[in-house]
Amino acid sequence: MHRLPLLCLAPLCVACATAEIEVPTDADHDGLLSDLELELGTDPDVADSDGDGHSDGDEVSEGFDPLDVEDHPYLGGYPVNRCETNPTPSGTGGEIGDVWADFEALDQYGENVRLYDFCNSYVYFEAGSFT
Amino acid sequence: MTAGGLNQMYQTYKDKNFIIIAAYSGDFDYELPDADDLMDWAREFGITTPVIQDEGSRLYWRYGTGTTPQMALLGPGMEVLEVGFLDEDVVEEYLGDGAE
Repeated sequence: MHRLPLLCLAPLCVACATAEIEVPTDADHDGLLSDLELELGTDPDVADSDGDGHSDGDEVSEGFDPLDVEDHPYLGGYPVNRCETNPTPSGTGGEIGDVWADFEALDQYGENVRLYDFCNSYVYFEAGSFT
Repeated sequence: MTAGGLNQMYQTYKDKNFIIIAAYSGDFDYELPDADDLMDWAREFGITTPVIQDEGSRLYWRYGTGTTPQMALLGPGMEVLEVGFLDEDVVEEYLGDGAE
């Protein structure tokens, strides 16, 4: 936290005084105020606390855990939209009304994509041997 | 839908809480595609959403109804809304301007 003197412009002041105001800071410029970082447990002086290549601010704004190296935005920049709680799979998945189970598979960036990362979205799924 | 049509559909509905996942099991030689193969295929058709490896066509068969390619539209919560051979008209029913 920086303490800045409250400047007083003498010509404009009838009675001048000095005061200090506290200005919230983002010491590591990761988009999160240092006070909030202390609450979250992230390092206010390190932009990427878990070292996963994504800033704490980006992770928090997109719903990822800035303290979990395995939990971060996709390299492909896909719009992750998780459910508050995971669905309960039902049926075979081949009938209308069935609820699909989660799965993970390698994507074009070499990362594993998880279906339930898009659980709160409409998902158009297409599978085949495309040419 | 053709692979090229996937990106066009994504661009149309991407602001409506919509994502496309294409599961690719490789060409007809059945050789498992690696990440580079998936990227080549995604770039060829301009696809910016996940193109995933479908090892042994397990995802195809897991949810398959016998159509080629296998398609499904899932709603929020991962419930199957439509399944089988789908086209963009089906997506429009749910996400188009006239959808309730």
